[in-house]
Amino acid sequence: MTERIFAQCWAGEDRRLPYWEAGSGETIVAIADGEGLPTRAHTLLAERRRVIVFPMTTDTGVPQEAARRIGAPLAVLGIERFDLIGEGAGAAAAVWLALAPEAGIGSVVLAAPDGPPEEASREIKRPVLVLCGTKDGSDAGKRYRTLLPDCYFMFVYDAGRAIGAERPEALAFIALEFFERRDLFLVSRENGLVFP
Amino acid sequence: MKASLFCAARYMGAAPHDIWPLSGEYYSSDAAVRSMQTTFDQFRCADEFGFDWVTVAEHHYSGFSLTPNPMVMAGALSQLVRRAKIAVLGPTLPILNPVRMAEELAMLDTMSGGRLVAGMMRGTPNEYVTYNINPAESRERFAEALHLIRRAWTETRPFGWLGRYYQYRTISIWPRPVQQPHPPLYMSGSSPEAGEFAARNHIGIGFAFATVPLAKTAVQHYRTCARDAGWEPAAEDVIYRAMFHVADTDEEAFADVSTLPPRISLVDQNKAIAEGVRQSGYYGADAVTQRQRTSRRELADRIELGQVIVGGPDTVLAQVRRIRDELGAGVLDLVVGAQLGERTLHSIELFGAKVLPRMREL
Repeated sequence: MTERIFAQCWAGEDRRLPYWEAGSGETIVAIADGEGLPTRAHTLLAERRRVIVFPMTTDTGVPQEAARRIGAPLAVLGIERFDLIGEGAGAAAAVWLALAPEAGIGSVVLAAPDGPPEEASREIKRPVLVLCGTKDGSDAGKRYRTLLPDCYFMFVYDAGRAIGAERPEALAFIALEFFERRDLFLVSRENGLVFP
Repeated sequence: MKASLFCAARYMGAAPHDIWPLSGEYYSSDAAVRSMQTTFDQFRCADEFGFDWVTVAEHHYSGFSLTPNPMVMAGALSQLVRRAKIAVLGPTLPILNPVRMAEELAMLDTMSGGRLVAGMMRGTPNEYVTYNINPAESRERFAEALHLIRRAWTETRPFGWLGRYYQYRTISIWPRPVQQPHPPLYMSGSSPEAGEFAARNHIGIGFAFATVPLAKTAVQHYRTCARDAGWEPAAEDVIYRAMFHVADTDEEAFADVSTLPPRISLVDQNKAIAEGVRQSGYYGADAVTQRQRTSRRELADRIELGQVIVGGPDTVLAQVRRIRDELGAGVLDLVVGAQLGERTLHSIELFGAKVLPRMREL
């Protein structure tokens, strides 16, 4: 798959698990709230990487079950290593997926995570970046930060719960930085030269 | 009602005051040192005579003010002024690094033992030329920087910031403010947009060289917006700035100020900058009001409009009462208008001794 335009596909034994795929290169798996997918942020990510977006809907099941359902088709697709984004209600599923022993996950971004954090989050051994919109009235992001003392935490200005739709450039930019450089993302490598 | 003394640290050497930017060819370091010492003397006098606050502000490239970084002046005042609050009204937020602002203001609050008043301003439009910032971005930069500074003051754990204009991978400022959750915040309330923003974000407002009628309209708008946002501003949430001079009698005071040059608008001294700023949309919905505010006027008109407070103590008190009654302002920020040596110090003493005690009852 090298197209930057997302194609909808179906996974699972009964082919009832929808997902969208676009782009090429190393894989990013996004588990996101079910409405309005893929977002502009996913499209921007697909300009640089292969992106597979799974919706988190009521049909997907509880987070642990959703992680299992999403993990299975990834294996079928032959995806052994990937970076992971959990957005909104998809954050908890992303946590469970990151905990799966067979999952070859590089780094994890949790954007505007929804609901109380899973206690199991403490066991994540991957670098985690938690993003929280400044207009997000929920304290879930901060609760994840408390539960994951080694995670990185960033506010996304002027965003509420739907960071991928409200600030897509910011989400895509920082996710790629974090996936590519992990802890080193703290140090800017943006070019400040005005005129050579 | 409280009083603050605002000294802009005006350059006291011979130099034109109607050019921006002003060439360094006019500059004398001796005159600049004398200007600073005079400013310190006036602030010290205000503190001794009971002024509640002392005020500093940011202006660049001009003899109008020798405090391009008001934080430096405020740092000096934190040790020189023992009792009054130190009001930085303010840094020109959109042209500065907001994390640096959060750090420096927290440092000032710590150095002064919790006496900082933090004004966040958009500044005069010409300031955008100083650090080459597009004035069209002014309001958005201001809003984001203000939110970021509040976060920097109140978040106790390191955090990053993905803004529209500012990006930081990790922030964790030391020192932190003494006043909790943070020092009192003010911003300009001159424009409708500013009043709405201040009300929405529970911030006090100030008016610099406005007129009482214009400020009255703006305060009413601010109070309405605040009520809509679920809170009621206190008197101290409104600052009104005016030039002042007090003498023992009205005749002496008017004689002192009669020789003063008319107040000039820095941005209007450079037609190219004035036009460039206008085209950028900097003034928003407020362009007409801004023009009214900065228009040149005769002294009598400026007194009538509340831009200048001048006279003997009783006359000055009557003018102050009118401002209080019209605006409900709780803080009067008094600008040293006449640099007349001992007579200026006497003006500060007279205000502190004979006006301020009665003003507190208003």
